[in-house]
Formats: sequence, structure tokens, C-alpha cells
Amino acid sequence: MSHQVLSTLAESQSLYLDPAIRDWVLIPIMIVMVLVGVFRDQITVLLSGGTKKATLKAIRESKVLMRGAALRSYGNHIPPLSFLNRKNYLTNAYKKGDYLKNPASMNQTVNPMTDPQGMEMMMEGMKKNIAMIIPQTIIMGWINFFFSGFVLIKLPFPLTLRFKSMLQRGVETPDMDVTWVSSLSWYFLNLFGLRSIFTLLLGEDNAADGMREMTAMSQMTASPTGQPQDFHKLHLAESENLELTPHSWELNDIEHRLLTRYGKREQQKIIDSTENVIESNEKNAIEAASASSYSEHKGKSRRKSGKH
Amino acid sequence: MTTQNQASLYVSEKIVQNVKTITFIRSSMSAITGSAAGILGLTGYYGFIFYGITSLFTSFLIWAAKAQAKPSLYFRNGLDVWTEGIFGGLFSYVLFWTLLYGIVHVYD
Amino acid sequence: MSPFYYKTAIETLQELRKSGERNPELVVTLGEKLIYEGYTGKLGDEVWSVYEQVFIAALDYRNDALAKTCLERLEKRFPKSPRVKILNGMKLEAEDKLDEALELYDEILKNDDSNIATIKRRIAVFKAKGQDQRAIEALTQYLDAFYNDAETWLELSSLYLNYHLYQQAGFCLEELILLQPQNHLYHLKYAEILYTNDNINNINLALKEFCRVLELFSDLNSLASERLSKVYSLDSKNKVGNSNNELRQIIRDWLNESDKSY
Repeated sequence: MSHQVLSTLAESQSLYLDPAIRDWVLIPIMIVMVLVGVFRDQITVLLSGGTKKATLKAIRESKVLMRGAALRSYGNHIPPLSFLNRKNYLTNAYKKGDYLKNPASMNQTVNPMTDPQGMEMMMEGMKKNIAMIIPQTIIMGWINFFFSGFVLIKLPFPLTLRFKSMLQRGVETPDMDVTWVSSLSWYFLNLFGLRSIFTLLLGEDNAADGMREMTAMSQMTASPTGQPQDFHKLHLAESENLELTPHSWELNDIEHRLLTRYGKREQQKIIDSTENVIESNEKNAIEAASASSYSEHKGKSRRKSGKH
Repeated sequence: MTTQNQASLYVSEKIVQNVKTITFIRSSMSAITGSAAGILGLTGYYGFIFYGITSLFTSFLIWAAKAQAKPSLYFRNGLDVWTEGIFGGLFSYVLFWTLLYGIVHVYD
Repeated sequence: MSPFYYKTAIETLQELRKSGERNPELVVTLGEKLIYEGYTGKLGDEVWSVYEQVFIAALDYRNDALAKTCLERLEKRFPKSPRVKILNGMKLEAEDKLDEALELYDEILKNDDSNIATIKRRIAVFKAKGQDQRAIEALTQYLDAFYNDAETWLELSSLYLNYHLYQQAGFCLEELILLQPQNHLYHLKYAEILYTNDNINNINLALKEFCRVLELFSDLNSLASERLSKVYSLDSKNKVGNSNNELRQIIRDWLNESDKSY
């Protein structure tokens, strides 16, 4: 059906909907879905409320990976020698499994059922899925049960005939325009459209919208719910990445960059800035000066580490 | 300055914060423009064209007022100002468009 | 007191909590008003963090009666919370019962060895007892896992500096630079450490780091430019080495100019 035909059909609107449908179906469905979203957000907070305590070794095991990644991305800011030292240390530690929770289990795959932490993670994932699936099913059942079999609203845009059976489920009128849709379509429209409304209502990282978790779940099928990873493999991979990371020091041409920035120097020129020994009495003075600045810093950091 | 050096001068928390600001603007704008389209009674392609124009306009406002015409100061990729959250906003737009169109023009 | 008063008090306390600033005098004054004059009911769930905050400030300020009130209320509400246990430990520390506090912290860590606040309190006890060696050990152990805790790296570096262990302190600062490469204060401190730890390579590194500080913090950092001008003027006086005279001249000119405009 072409666009023109559709629009003429739409213009010659021959259906009048009872305002009671609007008051008792259209708006209630939307309100219920918003409320359920807010409720879901609260429930997720409640379910994940029990703070899971990771042991120090587990934290160490996963954080060392981030440390390697940090070295890879920001390594250019530290001098070459310091970078090399860290690189060698980390690659060795990765290879030997120094940072593993349990260095003996280097070559075994972990069974999630025996590892209590794995169990916990699986429970966590299940809880989230349940919080997502149950309200969704209930609302859909509620809409199907009470509000099927009549037209609820007219979409302001045309759709192809293919959508007819889906959007007009329960109406079964062969000649009716596809833009007239039943309550189930309104439900789906809400499901997708309310997502950014939840962002407005509940902030960025809310758990109200089910679709995000749905996508998360489809990814999870690849690696079953919260399956604990084999950290030794991850460590080995990171060590390989680290070994392949070149180092080009940010400060190689710093003098030049600085001078260019302040308009003192035009074109690129390789600068050799070898300096020589400073006389010892000067040095002592400098030491004293910098020692005072350290004590300042020290006071600050001590105060900070006192809070928690 | 090398590009790498420049990239490392971004603070990722601030970038996340900026993305949040944009998402907020886009979400509210798509709800408002959706309502406007519904009240105006736009149908068919006009509605989508209206969304395109208003979101371009919003992008321009973000670019001019929020990013002070220098989006690369706020985002790793300056184009983010124009593209961030366009498709997420479309669904909300359609929702409010349909709702207001239904209330104003279908249920007389 | 007008109702407006307690609202501003609560807001002030909130801000102090957020920024982590320690201002015991103010907190105790506000806390006393809130707690003794019965405004606690108006705080809702926030009341518990206010109690904690006021408790710590009261310890700082030696207001034992107030500290006792806060701790008692917290213990009544959260009898098993490790966070309240830590507050107990801090009370022991304040009463100079360091060994008892240490025992308490060790007990908490036995059940939960990743409790950051406890680990940090334990280190503080070591420092209070003057056992810097053990404090350094505990800090390195902690940082081995929580490598991304910038404040703790600073703490460790200052401990090393107390013993003139410049190389180790420099290592800490390198870690800090890896964590926040754009923070010019870390670069400045790193440069200072290198500068103090005399050795030709380190001086060169320090000069580069001072330049980096100026690049990152363009409102000329006075300490960094002072150091630079000192080194460069010194060197030209001695006329030794194969250093780049042109560069030295330019930097000196530039620094002189910026000194005038400053």
C-alpha cells in the first residue's frame, strides 16, 4: 500500500473512540508502566542491598588487570626506565600467576558450583533477571487479559501491512487501517519510549527499564550468568598486550612544546637538554626548600587518610 | 602537541558527566517536541521530519550554548554533540507524539 | 533558634562530608546544636552519617561527652556494623589505647580482609605508635591490591621521604602520574623529588617534569618556574657541559618576562 493511499485513509477517519477508553486504558497503562519502572528500580536497590564482600585476594586479582591496562594507556607519561621496570615486573607477575587468588589453580578451569563466590555471583544475576522478568510478564498478562479485542489508539505514522497481525492482535478486522492499533502495541511503545523518561526521573544508572537488561541477558547467553572468569588466562592476555606496548615518552620534546606554546619558537627542532651537576651548597638549599613543601603535602595526605 | 598527548588530557569522569548532561537535554527535548508534534497533529513523514529538524536545532543549541562552539573541549570526539542520544530520543518522541496525537485528534 | 538555622547547619555538614574537609570546631558546634537541641528527628536517614561525622569531629576536638552520645546512638542502631566498630577503634585511639585499637582492627580484618577503612585505620595506628616500618609494609600491601588509591600513594611517598628514600618516593609519584596524568601537582612533586635526589639524570628528568608542570598548569606555576630559572641561570654561570645555550637563553628570557607580567 502506498503512502498516498494510507494518508487518504487516515484523513477519512471513520472511527470514533469512546473517551472512556482513553481514561481507563490509554492513560492507566502508561501510568502503571512508569510506576512499575520506578518500583523495579527500588526493588533492584533492595535486592542488591546486601553488599557483597570480595576478599582482598579477589580484588587484587582483578585490579592488577586494570593496573596493566592503566600502564598501557598512560605509560607514556612516565620516564622510559620507570615504564620498562613496571612493564617487566607486571609481565613476569602475570606469567607466574603471582596475583592469582589461588596460584595453585593456575591451569584448572573453575567450576562455578564449587566456588562460593561464583555461586554468589550467579544468585546476583538471577535476582536481577527475576526483578526484570516478573513485572514484565505481569503487565503483559494484565493488558492481554483486560484490554484486548478493541482498538486503543491511532498511530500518527503509517506502517506496512506486515505489522497488521501484530499490532491489531485480537481485533481481526481485515479492512481496517494498520495505523489503528490495540493496547498491546501501546504497551510496546511505552516499553521503548519510557526509557529516556526514566533517565529523567531516576537518574542515569537506574534499573527501571527492562530493555537494557534484556540486551545484557542476550549477551550473557554467550557466557552463562556471572560465570567466574579464568583469571590466569586474562592475566596472560594482558601480559601479551603489555609486552607489545611501545613507549614514546610524552616529555621527549617538552621544552620545545612549551616554547612553541608561548610563541618563543616556531618550528620543530630537536633539543638536547643535558644539564650538569649543581654545586653542593645550592643543592642543600634546594633540599631544604623542597623538604618544606613535602611536609605541607604530607600534612594534607595524612588528614585525608584519616577520614573514611 | 601530539594527538596522544591531547587525548590523555581528558578526564573520563567529566566526559561521563557531559554525556549525562546531553542525555538529559535530549530526553526532555524529545518528550517536549513529541508532545508538540502530537498537538500540531503531524502525521506520517512530517512527524519524522519534524523530529529531524528539532533534534538538529537542539544539537545546534547544545553546540552553541553548552559547548560554546568548541565541542572538542568537552568530548573526545567533537561530533558526539550532534549524534549522542538521537536514537534513544526517537522512541520517546514517538511515544509522546502518539499519546498527544491520540488525545487531541483521535478522541475528540 | 529559627528553623532556617538548622537547615543551613545541615547543608554545611553535608558539604563538609562531601569535600572530606576536616573542620572539627565547626562540626562540633553545629553538631552540638543539632543533637542536644533535638533537631535529629528532622534529618531522616541522614542522621547516621551526621552522627558519624560529629563523632569524629568530637574526638578531634576532645569533646568526650558529645562523642559518647553519638557513639551510643550509633551502636544502638547498628550493633553489628563494622563501620561503627571502626568508630569504637577510633575512640580507643583517641584515648591512647593503641594496642587495644589495633586488636579491634585486626579482628575486623579477620572477617573481612578488604575493609578499606579498617586497613587505613590500622596503618594510622602504626604511624601513631611510631612504627613507620610497619606502616610502610602495611601500605605497600594495601597498594598492591588497591593500586588506584591516589591518597594512599601520597601517604606512602611522604613516609619514604621522611627517611630520605627518594627513589621509592619517586616510584610512588610515578604511580600517581599513571593514575592522573593531567594533575600538575603530581608532576610538580615528582620533579621536586627528582631534583632533591641528586644525580645528573634525575636533574634532567626534573627539568623536563618542571616544563610539564608549566605545560599542564598554564597560569605559570611559580615554584616550577622558579626552579627552572634557578637551574638555568646557575648553569650558564658555570659554563660547563654541552647543554643547549639557546634553549637556556629562551627559557630565561621567557621567565623574566613572565615574572614582570605576573
